[in-house]
Amino acid sequence: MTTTTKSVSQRDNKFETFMWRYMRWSGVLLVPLVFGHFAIMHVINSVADISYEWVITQRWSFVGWRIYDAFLLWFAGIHGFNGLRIAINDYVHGESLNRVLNILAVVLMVIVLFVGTAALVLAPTTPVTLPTG
Amino acid sequence: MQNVVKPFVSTVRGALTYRGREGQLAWFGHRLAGLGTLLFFIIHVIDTSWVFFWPEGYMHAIALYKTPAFLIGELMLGLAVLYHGLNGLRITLMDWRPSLWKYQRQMTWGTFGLTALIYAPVFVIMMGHILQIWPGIEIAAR
Repeated sequence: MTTTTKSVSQRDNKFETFMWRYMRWSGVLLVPLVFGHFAIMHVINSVADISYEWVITQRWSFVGWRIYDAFLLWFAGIHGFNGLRIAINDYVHGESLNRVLNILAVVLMVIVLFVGTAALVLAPTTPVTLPTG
Repeated sequence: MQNVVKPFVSTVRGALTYRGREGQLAWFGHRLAGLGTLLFFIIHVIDTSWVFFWPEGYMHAIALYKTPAFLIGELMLGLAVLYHGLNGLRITLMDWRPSLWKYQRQMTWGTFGLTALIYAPVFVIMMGHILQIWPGIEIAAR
């Protein structure tokens, strides 16, 4: 324990410094990205306008919106899950539970980034005709 | 379990008794808004991915977003995102120029004020959308 403490803490410090910088840089980028996304989806349009067909024909048929959404997904995803990591480390001091929660957070982040990216890349440019009920 | 409960209780107790004034309120709001937005983000990305993976599920999710609880949640999300973004800019600005620390109280109140100023018209416009789809309202208006 005592022999490895120094190198471990140095590695942690480098990581923490990197994430500290990342939170600020990504935050500055996310302000226009998220405010723009929110204005388009919730202020100019609303959930009343949004449908499966609308997302495909009005949004994802333009590759620019897919790229915009990919930036949102990755920058906000890593920013948000790093925030969760900081909160976990603030409140959960038990070593094993802290580790379990942090691993769960990473797993959840990977799942969210994976399914989000997969949908952005693979979603069709014209709506698939669905069996109407 | 004690390891979770103790820091949590001391956080809540601290938030209620520690007289950190507006700086503490800004910090607490930032954390609450950030974690709340993350919760929505996780649900939102998964249901939006259903446009590809499961279109019927996506339609069901959109129907769910039109229910009162989610419409109120949408209003709260707007406030959370707006405040978290503006307060984050304040933090970044102060970290970048530490000479601004002497104005931290004014900047914190400025952030609260700017949030309220921008949120007011956003709230009115969003309420307009919400009243159009709030169950029962449409029938009553006719």
